[in-house]
Amino acid sequence: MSAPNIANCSLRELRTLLDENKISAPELAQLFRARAKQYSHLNAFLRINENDDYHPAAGNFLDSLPIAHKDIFCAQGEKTTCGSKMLAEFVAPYDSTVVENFRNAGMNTIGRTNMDEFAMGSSGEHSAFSASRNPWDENYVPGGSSSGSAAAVAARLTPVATATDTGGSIRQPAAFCGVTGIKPTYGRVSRWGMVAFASSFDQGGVIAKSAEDCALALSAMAGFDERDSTSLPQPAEDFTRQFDQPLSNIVIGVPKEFFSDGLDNKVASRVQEAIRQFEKQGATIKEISLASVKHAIAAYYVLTCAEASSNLSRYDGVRYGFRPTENNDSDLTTMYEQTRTQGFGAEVKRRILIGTYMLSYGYYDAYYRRAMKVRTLIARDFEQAFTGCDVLLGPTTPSPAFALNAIADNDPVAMYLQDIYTVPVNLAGLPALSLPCGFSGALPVGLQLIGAPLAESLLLSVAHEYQKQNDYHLQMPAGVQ
Amino acid sequence: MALTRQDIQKLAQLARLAQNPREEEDTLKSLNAVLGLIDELKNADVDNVDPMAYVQLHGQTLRTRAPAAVAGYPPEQLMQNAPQADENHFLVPKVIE
Repeated sequence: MSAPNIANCSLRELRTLLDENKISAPELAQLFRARAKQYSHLNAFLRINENDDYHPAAGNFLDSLPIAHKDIFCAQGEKTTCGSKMLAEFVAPYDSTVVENFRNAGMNTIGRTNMDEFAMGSSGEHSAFSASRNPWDENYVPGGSSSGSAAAVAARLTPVATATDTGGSIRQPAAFCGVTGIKPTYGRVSRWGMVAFASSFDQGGVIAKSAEDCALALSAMAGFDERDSTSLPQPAEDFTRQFDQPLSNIVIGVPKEFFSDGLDNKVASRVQEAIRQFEKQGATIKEISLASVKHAIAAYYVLTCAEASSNLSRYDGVRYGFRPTENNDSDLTTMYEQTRTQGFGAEVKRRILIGTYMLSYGYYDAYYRRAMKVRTLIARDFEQAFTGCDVLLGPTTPSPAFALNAIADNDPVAMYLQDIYTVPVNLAGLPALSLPCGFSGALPVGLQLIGAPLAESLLLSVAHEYQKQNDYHLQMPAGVQ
Repeated sequence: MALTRQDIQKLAQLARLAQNPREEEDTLKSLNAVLGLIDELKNADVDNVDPMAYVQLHGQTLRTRAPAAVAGYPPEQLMQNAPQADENHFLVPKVIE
């Protein structure tokens, strides 16, 4: 079997190749490492491991299969930069639970993927190191913040990659890159050792080619963790357990607010085609309304910027991270200021300043408290929707991928509106996934499925049934063979 | 209410960020644009609605576990990233004259 064919294999197919001794574990990892180097101009990886990085876990389904980690998850003794100059030289003193879980499953880490700095961005252009490129058209962005993870899976540089989603950072790049990505229920995946952005939103998940691969990886990744105070007391589970059930008992809600004026026509058409496909497969389609989601973007940016301004106050040049070498004899305040001014990029500084304003005296009630109340309204809307629906469906993004540098640095609003269909889910803490549903020209289009709390296995099974009927998730970018 | 240049200077000081005049101008414009987006919140009817700081699923409270003492990490391991350290102490510019 040729290298591109192996690179396009599912996790089950790779498992079979290993079990039948058609390829060895080191050969498999070497194949993906070589591809990661061959396509290094995509800037999907920040670092590629030179050697195997795994401990065999005989009998585990994922044993010896390659994985790449978003550079937000700490791995003991390794750099974890979070896409920032602030952490450019930071060497993690311990493993994140996510890295530990995949290590225990025997997975072989092939490298660390690029990302928007501190997971703040929707294009991959806000990495302090390099902007990742979209494998479907290298002049286009891969989305963000899990830019490298999505680009790496799309270019078949790894079969699966970890990612995180605070407001769409798994689903939006998955949509732009034509791959499948799941953001689990808040609390499903431990945040221990995952660099914080907005703690009441941040959630780890995975990006892979298919819903099945996502389910297999998530089964090893999720589970209760004593070290994360918001970890849900749910045991590990097999997220493929509801697979291969017909969709005839499934009611899919389609929120009319997700088809607003700003939605690209071709994206709308692909999503409508997907709706018809689900109908053909026996699902019942029902139009619903989520009246409060129109306030979601505003509430999301108030709350996440506020949490970010607090979380990122830890970067003061004292305990870890960047500290300028000049002005070392200056006073403490100047040292703090120079550390933060030189260490953070423009978008991170902007969000810190917005958050500082939201939490400042006189504005707390008008913005922060009000946004928390809107959060309640949005969560209630979803709760109500799930009384009559099993799954909600809509576009993942308002448009396909946009060109690199198309949204100016000084136009944050245009960038923030990219998240219009993804942030409501994070406000309510729900599980959601994006899967490819066709193309707009040469660029992939993403379909979003949203589930009730803890309904990941249902979501993944519905996505799997859809993917049995088409091959969008198996198509490789023309420039990547 | 639009932010002024003085507001930006105050926020930057609170956040311990330094800005030159050109950066201040850029920040002023972009923050005012973001505030324009956020002001939309005023249209939400939130009377008698409780604020939600954290997602709570089906009444699960996430912070009720009793704290348990666990082994920590050796100080040397945690100090390895310190920009300036001396014998497991962080060094900072002189604070007391």
